[in-house]
Amino acid sequence: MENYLYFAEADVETGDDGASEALVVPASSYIGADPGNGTTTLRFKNAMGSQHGIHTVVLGHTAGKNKEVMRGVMACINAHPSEGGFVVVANSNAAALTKGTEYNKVFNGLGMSTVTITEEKFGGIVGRKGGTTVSASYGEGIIGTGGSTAPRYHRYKQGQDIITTMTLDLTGSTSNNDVDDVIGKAAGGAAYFYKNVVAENGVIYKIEMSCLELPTASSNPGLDIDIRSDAAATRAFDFDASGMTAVLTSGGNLALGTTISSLSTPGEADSYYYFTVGGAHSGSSVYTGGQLMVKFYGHPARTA
Amino acid sequence: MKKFLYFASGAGANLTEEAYVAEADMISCVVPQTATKTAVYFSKTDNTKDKIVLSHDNKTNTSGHRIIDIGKALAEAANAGPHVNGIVDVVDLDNSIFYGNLSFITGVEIQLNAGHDASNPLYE
Repeated sequence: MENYLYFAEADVETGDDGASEALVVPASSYIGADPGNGTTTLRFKNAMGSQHGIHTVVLGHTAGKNKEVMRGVMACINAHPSEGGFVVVANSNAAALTKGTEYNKVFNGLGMSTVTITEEKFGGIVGRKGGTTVSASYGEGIIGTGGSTAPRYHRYKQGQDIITTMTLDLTGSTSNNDVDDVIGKAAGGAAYFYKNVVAENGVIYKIEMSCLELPTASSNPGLDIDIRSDAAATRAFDFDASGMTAVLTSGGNLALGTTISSLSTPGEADSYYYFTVGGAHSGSSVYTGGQLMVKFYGHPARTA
Repeated sequence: MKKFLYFASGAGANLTEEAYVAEADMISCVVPQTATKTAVYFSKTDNTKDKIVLSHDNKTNTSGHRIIDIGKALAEAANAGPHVNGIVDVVDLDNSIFYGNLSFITGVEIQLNAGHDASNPLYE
C-alpha cells in the first residue's frame, strides 16, 4: 500500500508554476530532509513527472525541533491511515474558512506553523508564451508555422551543472537582409525565445547553437544567424539589435550538424535572447525550414 | 495486483487524449493550477510525463481547494482492494462515473507528453 502525503500553504489557489500552493505526493517519492533554523526542508523526487524534478516542502516549526519533525514525517510515511492511504502531513490552509489548518498529530508540541512549497522543474518544460518570469518563455513573434511551432525546452542536471536545451523550428519566421536585425514573424510580436533566470538555469557560462536542419527559403535563405540578448522582452522582427549584447556570433553560414559556442558573453541575468541576422543575404526571406537547438550551460550561483 | 487509473474527457474515448489509463504507481504529484483546476502528473519511463487537468468548483475560501478531495480519492483508488479488477474509473465523463465523491469534477483535459509540445495551447 502506498501512502499519499498532503501539504498546503496558507492560501491554496494557484500552482503548476514552480510554486504550487498545495501538493499531494506518493510517500515513496520522499528522498530526505535538511534542518534549518526553525525550519525543516523535505525533498521529494520526480516532481511534475520529471525524473530530475524535485519538490521542496519547507515546514516552519519551533527552533531546535528538527529531528522530531523528521521523525514525524517518517511516521506519516509509514502510517496506516483510515482514508485509503491519504495522510494530511501539514495543512496551513487557513483561508479554507470552514476547515482551517490541520497538522498531523505526530507534530504536536513542535510548533508547526508554516508550509512553503516549491518545485525544481527538470525534464520537459512547458514553454510560456509571453512569459516574463520563467526561463522557458518566448514571444508570439518567434512562433513559426512549421510542424513544431513553438520553442521546446528540456532541462537536466549533470552533477552540479544545469543544462537547458531549447529547440525551435524557424519555418514562418523572416530574416531581413540587414545585419543585426531581429529574426521573427513579419507580422510582428516579440521574438525572444528564452530568458536568463539564474534561479532556474544557474549562472550561464557557455551557450551553444547547433543546426539540426539547415534553414531554407524560397530564395536568399539567411544562414548566418547570431544570438543577442536584451533587457527588453519587446524586440520584434526588423528591430535593429546592434545595440543589444552579442551573445553568440556565428561568423558565417550555418552548416547542418555543426555547433557554435559562446564562452565569453552569456548575456546578463534576466535578459531575453533573440536570433539576429549575422550576415547579409541579398534579400529578405521567409524561412520554409530550419531547426536550431540552443543549449545553455549553467551552474548554481556560488558566494564566498 | 497492479492498479490502473482511468480518466475520460467525455468526448467519446475513441481518439487520442479523449481517455487515459496509467498505472497508479506512476502518479508523480497532484498540484492546484487555479482555484478551479487541479493537475495530476504521471511519470513515464522515458522521462516524459502526462498530465490530467481536472476542472471543478471553487471551494478555496470555504472548505478548501478541491485538491484535497482529489488527493484523497486518488489515494483510495490507487490502494483499491482486490475486488477491483485492476482498473479503477477515477473520472469517466462519457458515462458519468466518478470515484468516491468526485462528482464535483466537470472537466477532464488529457495532455500526453506534457511539456514536450509547447505549441499546444493547453500549455500556454
